[in-house]
Order: sequence, then structure tokens, then C-alpha cells
Amino acid sequence: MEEVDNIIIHSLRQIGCDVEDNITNLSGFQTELVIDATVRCLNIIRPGLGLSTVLPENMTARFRLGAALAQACLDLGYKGDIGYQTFLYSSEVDLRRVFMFLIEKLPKECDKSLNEPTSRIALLEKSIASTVAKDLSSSWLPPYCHKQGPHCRGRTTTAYNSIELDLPIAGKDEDFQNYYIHYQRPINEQASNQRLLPSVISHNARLIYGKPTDILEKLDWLNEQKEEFGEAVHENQEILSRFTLNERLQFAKDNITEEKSPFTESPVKTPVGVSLTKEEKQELAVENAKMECETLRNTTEELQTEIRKLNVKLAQLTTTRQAEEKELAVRQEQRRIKARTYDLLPDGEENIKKLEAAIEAGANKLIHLANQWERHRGPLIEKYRDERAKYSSKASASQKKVDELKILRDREQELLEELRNKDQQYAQLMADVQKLPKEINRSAYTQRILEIINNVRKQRDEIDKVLADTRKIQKEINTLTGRLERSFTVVDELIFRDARSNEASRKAYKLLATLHSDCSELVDLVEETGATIREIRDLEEQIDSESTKNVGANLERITADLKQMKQETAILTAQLQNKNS
Amino acid sequence: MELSKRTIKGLSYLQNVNVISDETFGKLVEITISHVCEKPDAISVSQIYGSKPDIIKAVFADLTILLVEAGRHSYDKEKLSNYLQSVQISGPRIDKICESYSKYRTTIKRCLENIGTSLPHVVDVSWCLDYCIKSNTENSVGMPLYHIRLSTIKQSETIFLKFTCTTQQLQELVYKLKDAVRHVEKIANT
Repeated sequence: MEEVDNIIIHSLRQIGCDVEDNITNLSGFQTELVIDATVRCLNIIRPGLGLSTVLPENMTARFRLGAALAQACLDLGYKGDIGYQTFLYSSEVDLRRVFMFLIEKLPKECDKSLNEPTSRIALLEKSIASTVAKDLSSSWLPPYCHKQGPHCRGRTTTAYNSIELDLPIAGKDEDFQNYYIHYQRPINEQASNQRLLPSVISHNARLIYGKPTDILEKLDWLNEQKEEFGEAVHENQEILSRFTLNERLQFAKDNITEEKSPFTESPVKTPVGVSLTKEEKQELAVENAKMECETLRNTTEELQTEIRKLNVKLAQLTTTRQAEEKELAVRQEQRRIKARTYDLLPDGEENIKKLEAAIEAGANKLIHLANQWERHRGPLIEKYRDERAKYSSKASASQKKVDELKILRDREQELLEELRNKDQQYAQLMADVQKLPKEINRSAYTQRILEIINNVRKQRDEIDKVLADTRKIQKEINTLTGRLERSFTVVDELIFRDARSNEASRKAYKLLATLHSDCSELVDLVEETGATIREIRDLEEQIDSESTKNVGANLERITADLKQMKQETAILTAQLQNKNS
Repeated sequence: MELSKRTIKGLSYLQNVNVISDETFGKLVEITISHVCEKPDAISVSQIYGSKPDIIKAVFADLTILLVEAGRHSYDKEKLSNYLQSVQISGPRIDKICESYSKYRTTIKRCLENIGTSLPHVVDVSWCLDYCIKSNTENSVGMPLYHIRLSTIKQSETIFLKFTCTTQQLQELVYKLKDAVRHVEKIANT
């Protein structure tokens, strides 16, 4: 029982019971300790029972607490005999049984750690829980002591103010490059110190998730997409610049109209003013200058429109000129041919023949050249085809290799992901291991358990041996009784046959009968003694078990408690009477 | 953590010894960290421009983005280098960056924690109990009144919140607070 007690005490210490070091078995448990340990166990098994761990002074309260504990144990499924006396007037055996039951019911820690989830949400929840727990456990400090650390967490000092950052973008044209190199300021100068970090965060988010809103950005975005596919996009950039031009023009017009509105009022004002002070004169001068400016601008605009018109006209004229020049060239060619024909006309026959011969010769030469061309062309085309086939096979092989490479990349990515997950799991498990209580006793316990198992096995072997012996003896007894029976009947018959004639035989028969009955009596007696001895042993065991329950001491305690209760009752009645009188 | 393609491309310049020399690289990391930690020191970025100011500016910005994002996601050194490896950026210089990051990680995180909008924090409370004897409408009121002042901090500015309540109202407030505490404890225990 030593081992069982050790295990029980160890488990109780683990759940936070204050078991003193010099208590090594359950017989040393005081009533207070018993109540404390039981309540702690019950609270862990079924939280929310709301029992107090402190033994109350009052007898009736004690009795009620004991009864409640017994009821809780019964609710949990305890099968043995249990009542308030089990806890208040404890006997070692009952206590051991109750504690073994309770400790078996305690939730195991390994159950918890096994089905710990590793998903992202669960991890987040866990980290939130641990952070909140840490914050809850930290003590209160007056606000002027808050400098750093957990007290300041979540307390911001600067607002989130971000501005749009302007960063170099690769692949812009030369003007942009020039701007990036000479005029663009680094981000720390674009955003002041407190705004730098928010701006950086916003910028990154915009880069990742941003969707273009106005047409320029959309075009930029489109350009980028094309760049990614490796295509040249000069046309779009031109379009872009045209767009910007348009916009600028629009803005300029707006400005002009805005500026116009105050000037329309000014001429009305001037005649009203009677005396012109210096300032007014100046103002007038400025306004005049502005007017002049305005008129000049208007004239410029007019001139510009005129220039544009003239340009259009010029373009038209150039196209007509070009068309006419072309016509002229055609006409000249016709004229040349006709002149030649007129030259040849005088002796027509001769000339026709000559021309035919020349045509013949030309045709022959052409055929010859075609043949020669064919001769050269054939092998070259052959060669070209060969090369092409070679190239395509090479390309397909390289494509295959590229595919393979891609697959390998993917694989690598997957493996990396897996590795990361495994690392995470490993770290978590390591943390869990460190969180677990360091159980030095575990190996000792397993050794002890193994020893106990060995002992049990040995004892079982011995029991088996004894049983086999008993069975053998029983068999022997049975065969002996059988033989006895048979020999007796044989002898009985023989002597009985002779007994009619022979006097001695008759005597012998009588003697045989008495011998038989005496012997059977003896056997009966022996059996009876055996039964009695067994009974005696049973009784002795019972006495032992009763004596372990230390009834005497418990009885004394019960009587003392009864006396106390009576006293309390008497005091209460006295108080009642006092109040009544 | 996530970075855009543009940022990743910019970071890959860091590997190129021809574009950024070792000395420039060391200074760049130093300057970036000093700016992220909001302690700008004497050296400014313009002093290390060399012949390629545009690339230095871009890399400076990308490095800032990397450090800020890593701090935001509370990455440690291992995780950061893993992430960079997964986007095909690795090398001795990146290891150096990771090392510097892990050295200044807590500072970067603290700087980031200080940014944002938050509700006022209740940090202290003071109270006094008054007894109201009479009022203009009632001859004898005879009611205890609690004057409560909550000290709250918002954007490192102390704001006092004063109110007066009866015992029942105060009790209700206390119950609500206890309820809230229970909720928080429940979150801590899960």
C-alpha cells in the first residue's frame, strides 16, 4: 500500500494541496487535509461546485460539508459505501479507495496536449489568451510610473497620419530618370519623422492591394502588366503623354476662366472712384497691365488658331502637290516609251525580228538562271529544314527542362512550407514540454510498477501451483474413497455369505461394520475441523479489518462532537430564551 | 507578411556588389534602422548616393518597407530569413540585414506600437463620497452621492472624466466592470 499512498500524495501535491513532507501515507492525514484534498479534486473534476476548502468550526456546518462531499462523489459514480463519516471520521482503507477513485477521475494533461490545434486562428487565439493572461497578472501601477512595458501596450502616442510616397519606378523614360536622379527626395524627407512609418505601411499596402482609380493610374497599371509580359509599350506612353497634355490644357483653361471673373468687375469700379490715390493708381496700372496681358493672350490664342488653320491648309496643299508630281512622273514615262517606238518605226520588219531575237535570248537566259537557282536552292532548303527540325527538337527539350525546373521549384516551395510548419510545431511542442512539470519520479514509479507486476506474477504462479496441488490431492482422495467403497462392498458380500454358516465370520462382519462407521465418523470430523479452521481465519480477517477502522477512537470523537453539538444547541436555546424573556 | 513585386525587385539590388558597395550597404542599413526607430542620426541618405542616387533612394525605401512590415508582423530573425528565401532573396547581405533586424526588433515594434488611434485608457480613479442634505426641490434629500474622477490617457495626454452618481448607479457600474473583467478572464483562460 506504500506505493499507492505515494502516488496519491504526489498527485495531490500536483493539484496544489499543501501536503507536508513528513506525511508518507494516508494514515497521517488529518481531517482538515482530507477535506482540503477532496474539495480540490472535486473542483478540478467538476468546476463550479463552490465548496470551501476550509473546514468550518461549527459542527453542523461540518456535517453538511461532509454530506455534500459524499453526494458529489456519488454523483461522479463512486460505487462504494460513502457518507459524511468517510471524510469526518476517516478510516484509512475507505480514504484510500475514495482518493484512488478521485485521482483516476482527474483530467489527464496528456489528453489536452494531444488534441491541441495548430491552425492559424487557434494560434492567434492562444497568443491572445497568453497576452491577456500576462496583462491580468501584472500588478497595478500609478500612471506616472508608466514608462514602458505592458502598461503602455495599446496606448498610442502619435496618430496614424500617412502621406503618399513618391518612389522611383523602373522602366520609365529618360525624363523620369532625370527626375529620379536629381530632384526626387528620399522618403525620409518626403514624410516627416512621425509620418514616415504610417506612410511606409500605407505605401506597401497600396502596392500590394491598390487598384487604380483614375485613368492615368489605370494606364500605368496596364503598362506594367504589359511590361511583365515582356512587350514594348511605346505607343501607350505616347498616349499617356497626350492624356497629360490634354489635362494640362484643361487645367490651364480653368485657370483662365477663374482669372477672368474678377476682371469683368474691375472696369465698373474705376469710374466710381473720384479721387485716385497713389495706391489706386498703382492698382489701376496693374489692372491695365492685366487687361493688356489678357488682350495679348487673346490675340496669341487667335494667332495660334490661325496658325493651326494655316498648317492644315499647308498639309492639304502638300498632299495635292505630291499627287500631281506622281502623275507627272507617270506621264513622263509614257512619253519616253512612245518616243522610242517612234524611233523604231522606220524599218519595222527588221526591228521586230531583232526584238523577237532579244526576247528569245532573254527568255532562254531566264530559264537558265531559274535552273541554276533551283540547283542552289534545293540543298539550302534541305539544310534549312534540317536545322529547323533540330531547333524545334532542342526547343522542346529545353521546354521540358523548364517544366521540370518549374515542378522542382514548386516542390521546393512546398517543402519549405512544410519545413516551416514542422518548425512551428516543433517550437510549440518544445514550449509544451517546458511547460510540463518536471517529473523526476516517473522513472521510479514505472520501475516500482514493473516490480509490482513481477511480484503479482510470481504470486499468481504460486497460487496456481497450490491450486494444482489441491486438485491432485482431491483426485487422490476421490480415487481412495472409490477404492474403499469397492473393497468394502466386496468384503461385505464375502463375509455376509460366510456369516450364515460361520460364527467367526459373523463376528468379523459385525466388527467390519463398526470399523466402517467409525472410520467415516473420523473422516467427517477431520472435514469439520478444516471448515472450522477456515471459519476462524475468516473471522480473524474480519477482526483485523474492523480494528483498522479504529472504531474506538472514532467513537470517542463522535461522542465529543455530539457533546459539542449539544453544547451549541444549549447555547442557542439559552440565547433564544434570553431574547424571548 | 507580403511584399509587392516592385519591393522585392528593389531588394534584390542589394545583392549586387557592382551597384551597392559594401561600405554603402552597411551605412544604408544603419541609416534605415535609425529612421525606422525614429532616431535619425547625423548621416543623411544623400551622403551615400554615390553615382546612383535613384537606386539608393529606391533601395532605401524598399529596405524601410521590409523592416517595417517585418516588425508589424512580429517576425523573428528565423522567420524573416525564411520569408526572404521563399521569395528568392538570400545571401550574406540578407543575413546581415536579418541580424540587424533582430537586434532592433523590440525598438521597431515599440515604435510601431506607438502609432495609431486608440480609445482613451483608464489608468487611475479617484473618488469622494458626499452626502446631499437638501435641494431646491426637496427639503430633505438625505442621499449619499459619489463623485468620481477617471484619469484617462489618450495620445499621451491626460484627460479627466468626472461624473457624479448615486449608490445604485455606482453599484451598477461596478457590476458592469466585474462582468467585463470576467469576460477578459474567460478569454485569458481559453
